[in-house]
Amino acid sequence: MAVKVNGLAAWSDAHQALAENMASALQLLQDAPYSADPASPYQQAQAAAQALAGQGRELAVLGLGQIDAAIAGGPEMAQIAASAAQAKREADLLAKATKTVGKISAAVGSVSALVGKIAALPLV
Amino acid sequence: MGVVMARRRAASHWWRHGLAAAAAVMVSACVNPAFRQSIGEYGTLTKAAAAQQNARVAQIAAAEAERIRADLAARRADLRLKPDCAARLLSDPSGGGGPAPACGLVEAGGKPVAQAPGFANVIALTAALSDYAEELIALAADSTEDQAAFARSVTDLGTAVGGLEGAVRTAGGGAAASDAPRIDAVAGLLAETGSLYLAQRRAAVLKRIVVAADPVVQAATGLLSGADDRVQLYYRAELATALLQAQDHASAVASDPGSSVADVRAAQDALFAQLAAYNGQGADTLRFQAIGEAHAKLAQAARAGASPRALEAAIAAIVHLAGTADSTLDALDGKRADGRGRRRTWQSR
Repeated sequence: MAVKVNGLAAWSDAHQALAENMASALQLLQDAPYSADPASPYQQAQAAAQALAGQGRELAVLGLGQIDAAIAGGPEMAQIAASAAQAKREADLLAKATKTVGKISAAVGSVSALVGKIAALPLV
Repeated sequence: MGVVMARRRAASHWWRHGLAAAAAVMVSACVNPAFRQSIGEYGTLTKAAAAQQNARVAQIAAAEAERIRADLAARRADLRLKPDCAARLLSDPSGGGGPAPACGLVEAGGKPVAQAPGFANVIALTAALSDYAEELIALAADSTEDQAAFARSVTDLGTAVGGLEGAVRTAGGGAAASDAPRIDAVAGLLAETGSLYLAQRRAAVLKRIVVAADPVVQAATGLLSGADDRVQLYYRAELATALLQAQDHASAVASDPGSSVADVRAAQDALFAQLAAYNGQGADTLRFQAIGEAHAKLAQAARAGASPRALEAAIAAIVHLAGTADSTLDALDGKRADGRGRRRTWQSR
């Protein structure tokens, strides 16, 4: 039986139902004597449990697809990217503040050396 | 008169020193390295979780694509081209008119062929959260080198200004600068205050960003936590299938009078191994729910001015997040091999 789920909340209900059905199948499997006969309770319980495990995989893929669609239609991706960009801008500003003082220092040093050279020139 | 001037100059000198020192003390009181370090740790864990989740989601997408192809082959499906394929002959990919529809396959009679899921948006949101974590790490990075460079630059600036003053006086025929040592001293204090200011600004920026981003981080981790649940279910379902097969085989061997004890033992060993794999699934996974909770605690600590109590709660949440994935953390931090290193690190802060 294919799993049909509409919506994120329904997914949780289906997940819960799957676990409950699996518990019932495992209970049958625990109590049934082993038999290779496909019509035996043991083999039927095995088949049911295997089918439920397969449905669990299908339910997981279906649920991931739902989340994927929810993300595509929501603002979270753009908002997280904006937060990351803001953090980067701030980090760059901090790095720039350090470099600016270094540049001013170098500029004043250059002017100082230039004035020193001019002062050393013989007055005409 | 000269004595009065000298006293005034000395008073002004010490007043400036005192002001700078007081400013340094005030600024240093605002800087709390534990908050910055917590953010860095949080960023590292979030990046690790994002990488882990995206690898698993990509594995599921690939496994599902393979399953679809294997099913088509097993059913000997008779595949045909969709009539839409003709459109690609008519459309010029570089011209106006929009892109031509992709050519696809159907089964004979028109039954659609199942499409492999890509989960591109789950992967993109996880990557965006990882980028955010990366920027937090950059902002929270140890700024000692930056601060040292800043302090050096300011001290150099003081020396350069002193030199400039001397050069100007000499050029103007005046006496050599007598205030150079004082300028150097003030520059030294200014450098110290400025470095502390940079550290304080870094912490303030981190707090502001963490608080502002918290609602969207909560929304994103809520969605990714849901994806996380589905990823876990996928792997557990696969392991349940293998476990049931192993149990069936062990039951068949045990009930077969012709099988030896060694045969039974081998089948049961295989069953125990599958059981361990089933129980162990997800134990090494960093959970997005814990990531959301840790971010909320950090935002709470930031709002409370990184008070010790709020920080303690944030650190506990991060330790909990870290504790969800020992193997991942061991890979990230070799010092934690004995499982106690991280706790010691926190206590040392």
